[in-house]
Amino acid sequence: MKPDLSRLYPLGWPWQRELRYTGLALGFAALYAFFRFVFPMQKAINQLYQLQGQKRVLIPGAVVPPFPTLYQGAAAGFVLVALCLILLPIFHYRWHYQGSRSIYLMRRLPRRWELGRRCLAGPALELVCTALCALAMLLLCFLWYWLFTPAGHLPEDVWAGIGGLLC
Amino acid sequence: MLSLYQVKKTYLGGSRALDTLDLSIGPGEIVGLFGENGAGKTTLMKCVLGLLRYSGVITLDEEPITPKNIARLSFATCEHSYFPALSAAAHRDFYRSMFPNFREKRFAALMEFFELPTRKAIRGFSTGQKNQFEVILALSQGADYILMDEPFAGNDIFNREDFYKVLLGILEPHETILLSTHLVEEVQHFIGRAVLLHKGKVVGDVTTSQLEDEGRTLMEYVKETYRYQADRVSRALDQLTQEEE
Repeated sequence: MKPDLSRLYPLGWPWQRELRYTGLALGFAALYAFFRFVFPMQKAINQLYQLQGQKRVLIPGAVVPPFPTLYQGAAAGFVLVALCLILLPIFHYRWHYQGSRSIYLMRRLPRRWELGRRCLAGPALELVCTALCALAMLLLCFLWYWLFTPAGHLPEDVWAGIGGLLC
Repeated sequence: MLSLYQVKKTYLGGSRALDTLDLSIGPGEIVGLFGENGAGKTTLMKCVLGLLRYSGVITLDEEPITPKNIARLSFATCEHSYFPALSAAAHRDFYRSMFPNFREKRFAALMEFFELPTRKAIRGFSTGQKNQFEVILALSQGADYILMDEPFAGNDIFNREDFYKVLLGILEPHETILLSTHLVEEVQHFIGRAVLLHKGKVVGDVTTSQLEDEGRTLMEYVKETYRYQADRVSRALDQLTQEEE
């Protein structure tokens, strides 16, 4: 059974379409994050090896860069989605001026916060989902980093430079 | 009692829409609010509903209008305040959830009387049907004071006549109507009191029984109050034809 989230959105707002588009945007953001991480990661792993004759052998003492260096910029898609979601309440509010002035009804309701709730709750929920997706992607990529880096070739501080993750 | 004391409203740019306006409307009254375009009729209603900021005092039974008592006021406007994408049934459900005194029976009866579809989105209604639905919502909310701002603009005469009759038939003694309109002659037998606005001030306030006692019609009273010059048109025409000659 699908949950009825219509109470989180302005009356008559096509909230299912909004959710569909947000889901799609999150899907693209996740794909972008994955590929943006995987290619530098693969390159970093290749650089751990050298050729001895026809055989690839690990360079003793070589380490992959810290995880944040490889993941840098990968979350940009999620940031973009979040920025769009922050602007969404403006469209929700403007909805009450389209085809009528339903804003008059919403502003004279006994429940003072109903208008604000319906403009903000949906985007807030989607923002939380975006944050969770970004976190899940981060963990997935870190797992990849942890599992696919040959033993003994991880840097001492795998989280060095974590501040640059979003840049 | 809905009371306005010294209410002033000045829009950005300095135009004064309401100018130290005093007005009281008691329970059960049917009041017509008249005035030329820009006289302040709509502004007055929006101030009462808290949709516009104003200075002065507006009270409902001696208490300021807050979310606590706002449900005692309803509003039907020619700008329409329904949601075009929703059906009548969805509006009913929303009103029911928001207004504890929502009049379910009245809503159903009026919908049936005006033969409005309940499952069709309001945007698919004709102009007349949209106006009817707007008024139905205002009448069904369960409010004591029903404010109507030119609600029948765009409806044909038969439609409007029907509405006046239905209104008179269904209103309970404590229900109050404040009806803003230009249709002076049409509503004169429906209202019990006429309030005339001019440049944001009350320039006339009379009951229809007073007018009857004086042997005057509402239109005569309105023309007199606004100092309507009956020969205005003929003078203008004379002037125009002279210029052409």
